[in-house]
Amino acid sequence: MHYEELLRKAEDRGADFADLREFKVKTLRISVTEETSQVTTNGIDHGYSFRIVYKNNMGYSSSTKLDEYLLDSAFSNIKEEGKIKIVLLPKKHDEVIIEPKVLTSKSISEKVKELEKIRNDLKSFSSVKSISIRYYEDYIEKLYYSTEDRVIHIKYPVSGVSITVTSVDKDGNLVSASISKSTYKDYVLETFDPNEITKEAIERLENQIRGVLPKAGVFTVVLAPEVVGVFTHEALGHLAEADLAITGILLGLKGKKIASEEVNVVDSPIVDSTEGIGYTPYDDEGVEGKEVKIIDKGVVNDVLTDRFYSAYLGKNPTGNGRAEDFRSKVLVRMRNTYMLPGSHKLEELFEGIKEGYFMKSVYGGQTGSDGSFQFGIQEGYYIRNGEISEPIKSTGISGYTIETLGQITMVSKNLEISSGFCGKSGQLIPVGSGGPYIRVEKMKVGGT
Amino acid sequence: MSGIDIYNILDRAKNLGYSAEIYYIKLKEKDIEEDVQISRKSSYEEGYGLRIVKDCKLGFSYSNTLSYDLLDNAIEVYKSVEEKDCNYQIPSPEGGVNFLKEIHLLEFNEITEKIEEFYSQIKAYKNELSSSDVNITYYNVSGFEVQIGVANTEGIDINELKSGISLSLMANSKIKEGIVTPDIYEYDYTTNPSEINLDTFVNKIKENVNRLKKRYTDSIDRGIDIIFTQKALNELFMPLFSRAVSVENVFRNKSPFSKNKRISNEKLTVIDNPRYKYSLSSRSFDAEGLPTQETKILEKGEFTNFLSNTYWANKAKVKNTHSAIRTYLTLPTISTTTVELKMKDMEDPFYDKVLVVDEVQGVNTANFDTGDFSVNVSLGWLYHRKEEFGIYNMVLSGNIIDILNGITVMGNDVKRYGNIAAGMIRVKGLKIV
Repeated sequence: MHYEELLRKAEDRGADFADLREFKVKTLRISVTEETSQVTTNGIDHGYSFRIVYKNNMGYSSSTKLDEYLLDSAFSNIKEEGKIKIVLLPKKHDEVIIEPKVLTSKSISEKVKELEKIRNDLKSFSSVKSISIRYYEDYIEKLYYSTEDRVIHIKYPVSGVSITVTSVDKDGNLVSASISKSTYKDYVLETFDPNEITKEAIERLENQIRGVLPKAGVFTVVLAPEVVGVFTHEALGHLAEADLAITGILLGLKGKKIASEEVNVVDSPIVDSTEGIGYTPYDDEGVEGKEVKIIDKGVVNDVLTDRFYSAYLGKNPTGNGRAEDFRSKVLVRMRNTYMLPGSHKLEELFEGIKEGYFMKSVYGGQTGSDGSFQFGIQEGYYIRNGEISEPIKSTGISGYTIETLGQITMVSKNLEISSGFCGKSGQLIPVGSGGPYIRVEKMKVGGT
Repeated sequence: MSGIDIYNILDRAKNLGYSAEIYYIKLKEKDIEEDVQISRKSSYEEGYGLRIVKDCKLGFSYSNTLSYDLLDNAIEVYKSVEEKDCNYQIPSPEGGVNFLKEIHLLEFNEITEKIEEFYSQIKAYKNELSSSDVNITYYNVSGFEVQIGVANTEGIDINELKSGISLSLMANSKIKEGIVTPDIYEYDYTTNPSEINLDTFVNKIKENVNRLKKRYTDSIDRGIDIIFTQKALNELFMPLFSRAVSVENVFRNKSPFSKNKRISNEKLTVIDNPRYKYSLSSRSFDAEGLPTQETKILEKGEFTNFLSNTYWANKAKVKNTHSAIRTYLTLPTISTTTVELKMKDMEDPFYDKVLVVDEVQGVNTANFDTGDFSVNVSLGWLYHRKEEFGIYNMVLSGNIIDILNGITVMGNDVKRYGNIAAGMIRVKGLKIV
């Protein structure tokens, strides 16, 4: 069966709208440890997701085969009283293709050898007890077809490497440190210098070895771009996803000033950074990506939508409908979410802090629809009398987003974007996040 | 290429001198979910993962369709790694498999009917709850039937059908304009849908809303005893424990546990039970086709066994506990199934002042190598003199060893929640902020 036949048959059976997503992802995963080198995944994940709107009802189906099952199943899922509307778009045919040069020219064998070299470099550090290097690459091809006669073809690579090293501290306790880098431009070990990645992993590990357990409580903290990125993503970005905004707190605050004018947060389909792996020129509903100003000069401004939530909220779609794979339904998701740079010099952020913390790198984070957030810190330091002091370990920061945004008093001029993966409803998708350095006057820090 | 079956591929691999194995699934799923829109989805998926071993080297590939490309791609991988490791092995049969009947109680059409029944019940509850100011913000009812099989060149050729249902509800309640309670999340997954009682779900949600609305504002002693509900154990303890008891992580010093490390709590026994009745993680054979069995992990303060698959059992020179887990897209790894916590004496953990933790947020921020965690208590309450007060914005810190050492009491309300079967446990020695 051809996609045109499937869409035509859907219309013949009375569908008001139908669309088909074809996902074809060539995947490779390599794991290199101090013990083994393994290719843990190698293949093509290929399947179809089909959706119909029939008398304001929606039915979904997905399959590894393009056949009548998709059609019959989608129609069998039409049951309810019709309430559903989605935004319809004009006809469009487009193709956006990024062709990597290095990623596709290197053999699996060459990639394994490069990862083994990193492993061997790390082994030369006596403090390192175990090494886990994970390499991944997805050469993603997405084809979108709809009864609106939209045919969108996207093809781009995402590749990344993460390194985790462990050691033992002076008390005999296990400590570990990680670093990850990803890119959508080409081959990650060409885009980033493996020696620099290795060096940073070792620095983080050594900080963990000599790190002290921090004093818990409420402190003035300076957050580095990676932490600001996780904060804007986890604590604010999720609240701005229309499905969560409606039942959560953000939509009710639209138009209200919650932070200083220096606080500006956007979600962007494409960002000029190699790590902007939330790259989404068109989303998985064939919608052109548009930049969304979530916070504009400290004021809650806008939310992220897919076709359904755009219709529900009566606004234009922003291109935030994304799905992990053909198995997954489209959800409202972020792309590259970051805080815009401000006006302060970095050193100004530390001035006058008698005792506080500088949080540089995170393990990850989570947020609730009530605006609460929590994330773990893997690299942080005490600030004493305005200076960065001894490293800390085993801590987390938490709070309420709106309160915390209101506590931001300075935003630096720098901007750095980091890559990561975001989980929602069991789906994991690549995202970019980042920002400048910021100073938060009061933030809860976990510890001893 | 049409007409190819798994045996053709295995035969060709064997003729080329490889020991080979195909892990395959054929999965039918159906789900209904609603936030502000109701959506219904049906899906079908099949997939095949091929492992080949020869001369102490491994190859792997997967595909959604069967063709000889699967073998060619695995051979390409086989040739790409030069390092030899003679622990790679496609296993031979190890004893007979005793098939579990209770993992396939319903056919797919019966599962679909059950999903519709639950859906109708939830809709009715949703209306009822909205009148009492409780907002079900999201629910999902889904079910599946899957055929899982393993066939290899060493004599294993086995498959089984499994079916089950999972149900989750998320709710909150508005306290005042711009302020809602934290999300309250209830869920269950089982091979036996008659185990799911929606009344219990809804009552728990109502109770939790009432607790959260009565907010505790005084300071709380940082070292207060903690009671973990089964749900909190499933969310916090299980991911940390599952990772820490893998032979791979213990062998590589990437676990807070080791064979020589003792736990000071000698009353606690911990078992991994892949044959626990009605648990969705139960199975007759593991992902390498080997028969499943109970494994005692911790007893009288000693780690008696860690969990392994064929490769790691060979590498670490320990008994294979047949704990391989995988999808067709990946090589086998190691995981717990249903973990049972057992204490010698069981009693009511609710006495004096105690902080009850029911949901936590941020477990993905824990350090899985060290077992350290610092998580947000997203749903918890203070219990004091039979009164309950909701607590907000509290961080709980510790290490998985602190939890095991600190268990003082386990309640006799033993039940399975997700992948853990235990009573509520009372723990000393964790820290809150």
